[in-house]
Order: sequence, then structure tokens, then C-alpha cells
Amino acid sequence: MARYVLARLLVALPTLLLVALAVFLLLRLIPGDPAQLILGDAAAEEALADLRRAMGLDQPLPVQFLLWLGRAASGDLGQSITNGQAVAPLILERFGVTASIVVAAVALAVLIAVPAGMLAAWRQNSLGDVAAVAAATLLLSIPSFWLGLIMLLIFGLWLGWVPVVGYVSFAEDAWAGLRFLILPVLTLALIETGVMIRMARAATVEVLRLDYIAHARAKGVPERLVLSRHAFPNAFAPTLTLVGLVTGGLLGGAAVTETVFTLPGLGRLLVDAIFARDYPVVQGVMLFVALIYVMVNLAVDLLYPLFDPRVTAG
Amino acid sequence: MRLRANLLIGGTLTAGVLAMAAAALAWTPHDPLRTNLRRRVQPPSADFWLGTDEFGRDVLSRLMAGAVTSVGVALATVAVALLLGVAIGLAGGFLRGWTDRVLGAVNDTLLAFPGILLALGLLAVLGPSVWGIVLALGLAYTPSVARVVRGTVLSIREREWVEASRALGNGEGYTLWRHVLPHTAAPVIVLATSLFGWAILAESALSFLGLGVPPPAATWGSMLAGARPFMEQAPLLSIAPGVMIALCLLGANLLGDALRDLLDPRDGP
Amino acid sequence: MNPPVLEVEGLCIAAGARRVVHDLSFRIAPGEALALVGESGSGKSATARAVIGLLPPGLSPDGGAIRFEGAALHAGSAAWRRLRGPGIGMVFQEPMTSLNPAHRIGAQMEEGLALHTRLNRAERRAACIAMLERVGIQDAARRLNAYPHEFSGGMRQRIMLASVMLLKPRLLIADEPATALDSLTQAEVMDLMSGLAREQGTALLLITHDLGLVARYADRALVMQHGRAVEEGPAAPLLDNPREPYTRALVDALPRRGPARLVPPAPPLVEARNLSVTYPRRGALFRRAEMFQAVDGVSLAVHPGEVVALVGGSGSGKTTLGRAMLRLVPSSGGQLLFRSADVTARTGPALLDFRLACQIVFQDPYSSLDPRMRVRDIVAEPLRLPGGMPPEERHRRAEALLAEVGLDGLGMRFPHALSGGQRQRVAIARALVRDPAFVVADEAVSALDATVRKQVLRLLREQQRQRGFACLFVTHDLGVVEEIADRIVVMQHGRIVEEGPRDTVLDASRHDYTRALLAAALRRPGTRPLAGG
Repeated sequence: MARYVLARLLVALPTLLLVALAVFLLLRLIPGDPAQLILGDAAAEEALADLRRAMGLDQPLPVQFLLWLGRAASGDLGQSITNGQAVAPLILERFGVTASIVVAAVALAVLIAVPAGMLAAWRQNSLGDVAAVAAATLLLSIPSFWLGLIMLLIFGLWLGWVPVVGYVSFAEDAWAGLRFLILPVLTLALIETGVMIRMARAATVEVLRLDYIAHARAKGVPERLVLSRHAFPNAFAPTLTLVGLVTGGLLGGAAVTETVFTLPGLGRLLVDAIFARDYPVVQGVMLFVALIYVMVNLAVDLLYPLFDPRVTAG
Repeated sequence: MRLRANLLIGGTLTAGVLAMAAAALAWTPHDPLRTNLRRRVQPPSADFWLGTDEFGRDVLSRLMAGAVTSVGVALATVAVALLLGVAIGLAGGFLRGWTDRVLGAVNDTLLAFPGILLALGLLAVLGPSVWGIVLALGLAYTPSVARVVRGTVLSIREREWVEASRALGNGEGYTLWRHVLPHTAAPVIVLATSLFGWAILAESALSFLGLGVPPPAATWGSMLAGARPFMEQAPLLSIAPGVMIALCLLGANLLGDALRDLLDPRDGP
Repeated sequence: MNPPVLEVEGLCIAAGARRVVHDLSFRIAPGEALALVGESGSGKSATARAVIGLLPPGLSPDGGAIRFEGAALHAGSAAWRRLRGPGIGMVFQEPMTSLNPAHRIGAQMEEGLALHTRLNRAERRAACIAMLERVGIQDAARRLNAYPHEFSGGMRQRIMLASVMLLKPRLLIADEPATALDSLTQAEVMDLMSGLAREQGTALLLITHDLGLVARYADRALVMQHGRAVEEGPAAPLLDNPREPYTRALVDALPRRGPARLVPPAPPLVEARNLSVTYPRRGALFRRAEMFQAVDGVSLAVHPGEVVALVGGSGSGKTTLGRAMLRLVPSSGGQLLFRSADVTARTGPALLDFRLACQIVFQDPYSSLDPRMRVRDIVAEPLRLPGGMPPEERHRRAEALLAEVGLDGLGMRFPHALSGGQRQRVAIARALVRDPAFVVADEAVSALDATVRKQVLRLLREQQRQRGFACLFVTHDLGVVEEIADRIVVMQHGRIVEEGPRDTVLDASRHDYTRALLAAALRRPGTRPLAGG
């Protein structure tokens, strides 16, 4: 088991390095002088030269990368061009908003989708199963931003149950904060439920076909235990992998949700930065999100043996 | 039974969207770009079947023109992703060794960026334009294709009929061409339909954010963005483009499901 | 008289509109062992599942009655479910999927006890340990915490047996329990099962296609074909003197030894000298990968026109050696000679000569043929090389060979439209189309039904006699060896432990391992018993 953990960690490290390299190179692709981009067109030649030296732009590219990497690793992601704020704390602050929505949505989706998918597989080809699959396919075909708009229309404008714009942090006022979060979480959860029901169902169908399920039944194990104790761990493992991918997808696509519900999250930060050509922020966000994604998948890998011990055998 | 339903509905929806896009190239009821500020945000009427938008433009025409954009971008994106992905996947799977390791590292790096994050980053560099979007999305989807192709090649290589071919004295190149390559077609086709759906979704999301094809071009995403301030008074503006996107996605998903059932079982025992 | 443990009357099972079991009736007395015998498609497995009430989706009972200890069993009833475990137990065929990979074996064994008995935790644990030791698992107390993937196939089968017999069922259904195991392990597991059943007075319903098992472990036998009962009666007389034609065909399909053949002496055609093959095995994270010695300095010569059987259990290295002699796997030491010329390191056109003259027939009829090619093209493909033959000529020859192997007119079909036996014939045709001098048959008939196996072996033997090619037949089945071999070579742990003419090795073997293999090869009814053990 320790060997498995170590192996996974070691694989993650070079990936992270390459990701950092990719992000670094990406923004070096922009035509123009980075110092000028930061200081603006009206900057004096001397100031530009000073900044270039400070940023290490006179050094060869690999050295620049290492300098940048070193600073990033110690938490310094530069300053925002638009308002001079330090990028790293800004990202962390905004990440809190995004993370709370994403985690809640994924958790809700899993809680609904896994039992629903397993039950559908248990009664394969029944009316309930067909309905579940149809509903799931429908749900995952709906664009999240459109669903968000419709939800706002119905629950915000027509019914007036939730506020349409604004945001209050959970830390300040839990109840108010919850009202702002319910709709985005519900929207995302609905769509991801569609994705996960199909996976949970397919995995369960596969598992129920196997001999050890028949063996459990042959021992007289009641059906509910067959499903929960025997089928569940084996069917959940592939679903767990999907959870990692879905979480990443939601993190990456958070921009749209946050735009619809006007939430001050990480995605919105990225989009605003792209419009404003605020490259340090763009760079910082991309690096941060990719890092989180790699860690999420690592966590999934580390949890996997709990459900399928065979992977540790190598 | 389920296969036929999927095929029928999925095929019809997808064909319908493609037909709408093709038709829009030749004709739309009104000029989708013509504004008329006196006729802003009108409800459906005999002249304008779905009403007008915030600039007085005919919604139906813009929907049809949007189909052209979305379908065009999606098809181009899938083409780019397939071209690059198949090449990378085949190279890695056939050649193995260092080539495979390097390509694999590149692939894994691209895969480490979730969802449209990579596309967003590339757009920050390239600036919004049709080709920028196609390139950005295409690159974002390439690693998925490469991974599927490489995985298929590696698994087929180990099948006994491939070993039999080698035992006959056939060269490695001939064996790979004749006995491995044809089997990669099925998974790639299935993946391509999924990619088509995702590309439509991604393109709409990007144009909703304002990073898509620049205005005044009609895209479903930007139509949704523009409809937001008028949500209460003209809900149809918010509903219609979304329905189109959803129908496209549904069609692509169902078609993909049907193709997967059709093509896979025949491969193997 | 005690009521029968199981009474089946007029049982019918349907798969949709089609009936797979017609009007089947039999009974089993307490402690008795009944074998349901048949080939694939006979309906024997469906019957077994029906008795325990676990028919797979797609099959449903269509009539008839099942009575356990006198009480009728109704579909879906709670009474039936309560019987599963303490009343009726079942052991399955595939050891690799019969235990839940996500749970430790201790938990899986205790589950049945927890459900059906009132023993407390400590008592359950003690019972499990005792049973594990009874089935031959060492260090039982510690092994309770292990996961199934840590055990070999044979051990998993024993663990499953243990967990079923813990509940002391009155009837044990064993569905092809030994098919997926190699011959030595087969005998051990079957002996264990039979012993446990006798100890506990458990009746046994044995589902099998292997007449040897029937002869050794069953009191009575019921032969099934296409879902119907063909013949029934006490096991030994049934097999020695079958009345019905189908039963007789099954018994005839058992291997028989023909007269020994004298092959004219000649210098070896293909010869391995001190050949070694090593595989890297995945080692620990930072240590170099360990090397596993699959074949260890083996010298083997095959002469023109002779059939050599290469025999051994799993892990003996026989498959690897067979492939190494065709240069399908790289060797790590030693020499390979073809017609006295060294071909160990040849490449390019020189290697092509070797390839043209030496061919292989694989074991799995389902994956050795490219599913996207038509049968005729598969057989014609070898004629591409060395080149220069026009396509019409290639097709003509392929069709001619298809007719020779009994597949006339099937050339335009795809492999998935053929049966397993037919596909194997295609594989043989493909191997023979270039008139090779040397053919390796790698477990070529192991995946086939008994009657089909007989036919394919006969085909192979006829072709070999006619064309005179040398043949290396790799197999674990000593019955096959009896039918076809001139010489036998026995391998264990990568080395040859015995070799000699067929009759000598079979009747007067000198090595312990050979004798163990022979003893495990069960007594065949109606033939001379295999001696040596």
C-alpha cells in the first residue's frame, strides 16, 4: 500500500512541473514586451528597463522559468496589472467561493446519482430504469448556464424565493450566504447527476453480472445487502474516478456559472483578467486550478484502494 | 429497442441541426445582422415568428445563423482534435519507447487542465476570433482523442490475431496497418460524436462569456448573454437559444450512445 | 425411506420465446452425488441455477416443479431465499471472479455464518479458521485478513468451497467447479469437495462436461443434450455401456490410444539447444525489475514427420518454449536451429524462410482470427509472402484448403458467424496453406467441447499424416496426448523433467511430477486405465 501511495505521488510531481512549464510558456507566447504590458504605453524607458531587470527578462529563458517557479512555489504569483493587488491572496479568496459551490454540487450529485444509478441497474430494463436513463441523458444535455438562467427566472424572478444578484460570504452570515448558494449548487448538481447516474448504472450492471454477486445470493444474502455491501464498493470505484474528472470540469468551467449568478469566484476572476489583459492573474489562476485538479485526481487515486484493493498489487 | 430509439432520435436531432445550418447559409427569414432600434424586444408576431432581440434583430434568423456558427466551429474543432489526436495516439501506440513517453508526457500535461481552462488560457493569448476558438478548443480536446487511440492500439496489439500475423512472417508495418488500425475506427467515431456535442457546448459557453466569435455575429451563447437584462419582460429570448443548444447536445449524446452499441460488440469475441 | 433431498419434475426453462430446458425430471437422495453431463448448450447450467432459484435475467422457469426435502419451491418466495446457504449451497466455475475483490476473505466467509447461525464473533472466526485449515490453506488465522487477489485460482476455489460448506448445506451444487483449473489442482479441489460432502452427508449435484469427473465422483449420471434428458443411471455402468447414441458419442469422444507409430529416424528439423527465456517481472519501486526464468536451458529436438507432445502444468514454461521455438518470443540464451542452420538471431529475408516453413495454431478460437476479415481472406493471407502469387490463385488455394478442413462454402463468412470448432479449423487451414514443415499447436483444442475436440484432433492427425509435417503439441491435457503424440516431453518450472516415446512415458514414467500428472488425469471409462500413479 505504501508503495502504491509513493508511486502515485511520484507520478504527480513531473506532471505538475510540466504544467507549470506549459503555463509559463503560454504567456511568453504573447507578442510584445511584458514589462510594457505591465507598466502601460506611457511608461518611461528607464522604468521599463528597471522592471525588465527586476523581472529577470534579460536572463535566458530557462533561468526565467526557474526564477518564476521559485517565486510561485513560495506563494508569490506577482501583482495584478489592473489594481496592483497581490495575485496569490486574491486567488485564494476567490477560490473559497468557487470551491464551496463545486464541492457542494458534486457531493449532492453523488448522493443522488449513486443510489439512483444502482437501483436502476438492479431493476434493469424496467420502467424505472428506462425513465432514469432518459432523465439522466436529458439532464446532461442541458447547458449549465442556460439551466442557471432558467432557474433564476423561475425561482428568482417569478417566485421570488431567492435573490437574483449578489453574494454574501458564508463566513459573514450563514443563512444569507446559503440563499445565494442554493441555486448555483442545485443547477450544477442537477447536470452532474445526469452524468453520474449513467456511470453508476453502467458500473453496477457490470458488477451484478459477476459470479461473486451470484455467490452472495447463493449464500442467502438478502438483496439489500447484496446491493449495498457487495455491489456498491465494486461499482463505486469507476464512479469515483468520474467524480475526480467532474470536479475538475466544474472548476474549469466555473466561469460560466459565476457569470450567471454574479458570484465573485475564481472563474469570474479569470474571465475579467482575460478581458483586462491582466496576464499575471491569468497565469496565476491557470496554474492554481491545474494544481488543484492534479491534487483532486491524486486524492481519487489514493481513495481508490478503499473500494478496489486490487490496484495496490501493482 | 433502446438502440433504435437512440439512433432515431439522436440521428434526427443531429441531422436537423445540420440541415438548419446548411439552410441558413442560403436563406434566413430576415437578415440576422440588421438592427432596427424601433422594434426592440418584441413578442412573436406574424413577421417575426420568435420576436426580436434587444437590437431589434429577428430572433429566428439569428437562431439559424447561430446554427451555422456553432456547427461550423464544432465540426472544425472536432476535425482539429481528430487530426492531432489520432496522429499522436498512433505514434505513441505504434512506435512506443521514447516517442511514446514524450508524447505521453505532453498529453498528460494537456489533460491536467480541466474543462475549458486550457481553451480560456489559449484565448487569452490568441484573442477572440473564429480560428482562435477552433484552435483553442481543438487543442483542448486533442489529448482525449490521443488517449483513446493509443489505448486501443496498445490493447489490440496484444490480441492473438496480431501475433498470428507476425507468426506468418508479415512485417510489423503491414501487421499494424492491416490488423490494428481498422479496429481504432469504432472508438474514434464514438468519441467524435461526443466531442461534437462538447464543442457546441464549449463554443456557446465561450460566447456567453463574451470570449467567443466577436459580435455582431449571431451565436447562441451571445444571444443568451444579451437576453439577460430582459429576462422578465421577454423570457422567450432566454429560452430559445438554450433549447437549441440542448437539442444539439441531446442529439449528439443519443447518437453517440447508439453508435457505441452498434460498433463495439462486433469487435472481439 | 428418506424423502429425496431434491426432486425436479417436468422442469422447463425458457429464454424469451425459446426453450432451453424441456421437461426435465430427476431426483437426488440424501448424501448422493448426481452428475448432470452435457456439452455447451445442453441446459445443464440453467438447470443448476433454477434449482437454487438464481436464474440469470433472460431465463425464466416455464413449467414444472422443484421440491426440496419434500417442500415445493415457488419462484421469488422467501422460503427459497432462506434455503440458500444452509439448505442449498453453490460453487461456481470461475475462481477469478467468484470472490468479491473488495472484501477480505474472512469477512466473506463469516457473512454466511452471521446470516444463518447464532454464533458470536469469536465462534464464527474460530469456525472459519478451522474450515480454512481443513481445505488446506496454511496460516489460516492470518490469511483471514487477506484479499482474494492475493490467492491463486486453486486456492480461491478452496476458499469458496470452505465458505459454502461452513453452512453445512444438505445439497451442494457444483457448476463446472474444476474446469478453469489445471489438471493437478483440478484433482485436489475435486477430492476435497467430494471428501467434505461425504463428511457432512451433503448431496452433490455436479454439473460438468468432463466424463472423467463423472466416473470418479458421481454415483449417478444424467446426460443432457439440447435441454432434454437423454439417458440416466448409475455412473459407472452408464459410461462403460452407454445405451443411447448421444451418450455413446460422448464416451467415444474420450481420448483413445491408437497403436504406436514408428517415425523413420532423420536429423532434427527444429532443435533448441540450451534455450532460455526470461521475462522481467515488476519489482519494487526502486529496485530493478526481477527476472523470471520461464524456460531454463532447455534442449529439445523435433524430427521431421513426428508429433511431440509438450506437457506440463501452468507455469511450467511449455507455452513459452513453444513460442520460443518459433521465435515469437525472444530468447535470452542458447541456440535455435532449423534444418541444422542457426536461426537464433536471423532477421529480414533469412528469417522469412524460417517463418514460411514454421507455423502456429493458437488456443483461443475467438481471438486468433481478425474479426474484420472474411474467412477466405484469413486463410489466403499467408500466401502473400514470399510474393508473386496473383490474388485469384491465392483465393483458389484458400478455398481448396477450406474444403479440405470441412468448411466448404463458408469462405465469405466472418469469424463471429462460426462456431468455436469451425474457427479452429480456419486457424488450422491458415497454418497449413503454405505447406509448412513444422507446426506448433498451442493448446489448440483446449477451449473446445469434447465431441468437437475429437473432430478437430482427428482433422489435425489426418493432415499431419497426409502432409508429413513435424508437430509440437503444447498441452496440459494428457488425454489429447494419448490421441496424437508419438513422443512426450514433460516440463516443470522451466525445465524438462522427462521425455521419451509415448507408451514409455505414459506406462512407465520415472519422474514424480509426471506420475502426479498422470494420477491427476482421471480414469477414463472404457479404456485402459492410465497407469503410473
